Amino acid sequence: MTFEVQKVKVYTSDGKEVVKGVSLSLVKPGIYTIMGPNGAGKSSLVNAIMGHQSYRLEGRILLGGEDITKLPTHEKARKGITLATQMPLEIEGVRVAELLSRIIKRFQGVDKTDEALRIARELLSLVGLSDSIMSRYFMVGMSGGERKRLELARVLAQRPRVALLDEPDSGVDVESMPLVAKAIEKLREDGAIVVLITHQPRLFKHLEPDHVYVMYDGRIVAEGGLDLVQLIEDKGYTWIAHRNGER
Amino acid sequence: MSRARLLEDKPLTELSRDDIIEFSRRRKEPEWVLRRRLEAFEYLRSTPPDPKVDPLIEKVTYKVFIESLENPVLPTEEAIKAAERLGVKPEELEVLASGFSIDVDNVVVKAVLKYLEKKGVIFTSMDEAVKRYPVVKEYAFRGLHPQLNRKTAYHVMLWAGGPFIYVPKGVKIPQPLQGVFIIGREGLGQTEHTLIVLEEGAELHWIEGCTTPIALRYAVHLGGLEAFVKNNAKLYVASINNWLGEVHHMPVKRVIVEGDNAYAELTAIAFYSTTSNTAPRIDLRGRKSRGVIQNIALYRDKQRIYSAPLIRYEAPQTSAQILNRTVVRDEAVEEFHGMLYAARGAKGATGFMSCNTLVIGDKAKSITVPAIGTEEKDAELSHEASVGRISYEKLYYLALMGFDEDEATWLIVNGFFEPVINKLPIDVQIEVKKILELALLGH
Ligand SMILES: Nc1ncnc2c1ncn2[C@@H]1O[C@H](COP(=O)(O)OP(=O)(O)OP(=O)(O)O)[C@@H](O)[C@H]1O
Ligand SMILES: [Mg+2]
Repeated sequence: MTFEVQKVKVYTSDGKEVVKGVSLSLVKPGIYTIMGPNGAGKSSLVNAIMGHQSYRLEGRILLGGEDITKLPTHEKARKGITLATQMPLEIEGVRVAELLSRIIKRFQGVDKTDEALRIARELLSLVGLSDSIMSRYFMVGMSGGERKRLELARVLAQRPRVALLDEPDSGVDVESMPLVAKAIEKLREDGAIVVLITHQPRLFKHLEPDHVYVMYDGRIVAEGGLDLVQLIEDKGYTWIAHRNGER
Repeated sequence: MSRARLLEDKPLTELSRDDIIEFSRRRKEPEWVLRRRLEAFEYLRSTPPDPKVDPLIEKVTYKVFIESLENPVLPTEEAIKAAERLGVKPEELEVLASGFSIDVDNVVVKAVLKYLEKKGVIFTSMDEAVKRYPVVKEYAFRGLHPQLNRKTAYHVMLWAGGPFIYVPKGVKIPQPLQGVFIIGREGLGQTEHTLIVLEEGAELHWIEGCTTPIALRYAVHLGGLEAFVKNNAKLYVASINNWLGEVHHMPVKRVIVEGDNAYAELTAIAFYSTTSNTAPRIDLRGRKSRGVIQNIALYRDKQRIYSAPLIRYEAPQTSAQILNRTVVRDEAVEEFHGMLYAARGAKGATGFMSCNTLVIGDKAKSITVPAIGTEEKDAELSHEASVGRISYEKLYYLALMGFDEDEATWLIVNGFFEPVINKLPIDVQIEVKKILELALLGH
């Protein structure tokens, strides 16, 4: 499986260019981290990739060599790419069990509801959520950390080939962090290409990224390994962006 | 067209006094029933046509009406198929009331009925009941009386069939009883009359379904339900309708909660009809009695809906709720005029009306006009209303999970109904979910 983002520019509906030419060529399973300051365009990039109507995207998105740029969002999802959103929404009146079991039936080819529910419970326990959450309405009244973890379980339920994770670790407490890391790790083990947007270097205590990108003002301005994360901690994004003559 | 019309070829709105007498004779009814029909006839003659009612009834002819009543209609197989469109399994079906007949041929059901009979429960057809049980005369057409309004008058003048359910003192029927009313022919104005009497401390869940096995070119549903609830008794009625073709849904319903601490709940679950004109009513006459009218509906295509539930408080410390939770899509238009009214004597009455509408698309419309009236200063009645739309963000979020727009809409609509549906008897919940799936996803 390969995932390619070719010369992507993203414009908001009022015409502002928020992603100014990003290319990524991810050709094997792994965890590819994108870090960058608030407003750098990280969320815009991944939402535009998924086809959110607020963004106009220029450039191409290839999944396994197939051009999926123009496919509607649900068809992209069915082809194996999905996004864990920065802010998961409440789906009132729809129980976690119902939603997850529908997803599992579709994406894992499971027929029986019992089997789908069993898998759902397993995924929830992987992210440290108890069975009792199954009967709650999806995301309704859940804490920030619970939402993030449920969202990860939802993504896992889809067995994606490409998982775009927009800050899956924000608002997650210290003790739950290893669980979030484990869930992301599971995606990699299952052969997925994981694009991980995060602000928290401490996540890397539990998880080693295969590659790190720094996004700044709509562009990728640096890439490297864990040492780049250390550099971010020491010097900050602006320094990194400007050391190569940016601006 | 100037030739005199055949007697039987006239619209139901043009029946004569003799026609009504003849109709009653054919049915071999006791005199008092005929008298009620004639009172209705007189009322209709002396009041002006109702533009929401008369033009629809006018299109049904007497001949068609009589024929469909007297040749009861459906081979059981078709009827059962129709029942399944309401999500009812044949083995759960106690009553199949089509025209005159109540057919019961399920063994399990027969056993249940035997058991109920031993406890003094009467469960039979109204056609039979008016002849056999004196108690019927005490109640029938007292709630739905011929002078209530034109729609009710038409119903009383033309009623035929329907069940009579009498639950004696202290008898609680744990399992819901179910009936299905089926319009099997073009033009038939289905006019079944359901009469329910709950004596002190009795309890009953009555589930009625209305449907048709084939898409009809034109039909009017003018069924009626009246119920009387005594001290400490509890009545739950759930009515599900899902019509096919051009069907005008205009039943009349009234529950009189006569007893202290008594309770009545009227739930309507509406899925399809060309037009719908409903005004279910509960009168709270017993001290501390309570009433709930709730409506769950999915309106679509070019449906025109007028609903005006009314709860009238007439005794102290009574309480009530009206809940309207509807989804309006395509070019459907819903008009809602709910009313809570505390009459003189309803000291300390409390009540709440809540209307939540989910509008899908630009052409669908919902007009909500909740009203409150009181003659007692200390009555506490309130209402709230909300109109929501399905946001793009939610559709996008569900699309990330692989749901296309129809599936996502279906999930959201299901979720919207869920808080009301999950309080209904489990049988009804399952039925409703099946019908919703059929309505929104086409399978
Ligand atoms: N729909 C939109 N309409 C207008 N402006 C937008 C829209 N979406 C994003 N923007 C703007 O684009 C810029 C990038 O936003 P984006 O959410 O992509 O940043 P981010 O890198 O994800 O930041 P954070 O780390 O805070 O999540 C911001 O200035 C934001 O205000
Ligand atoms: Mg962001």
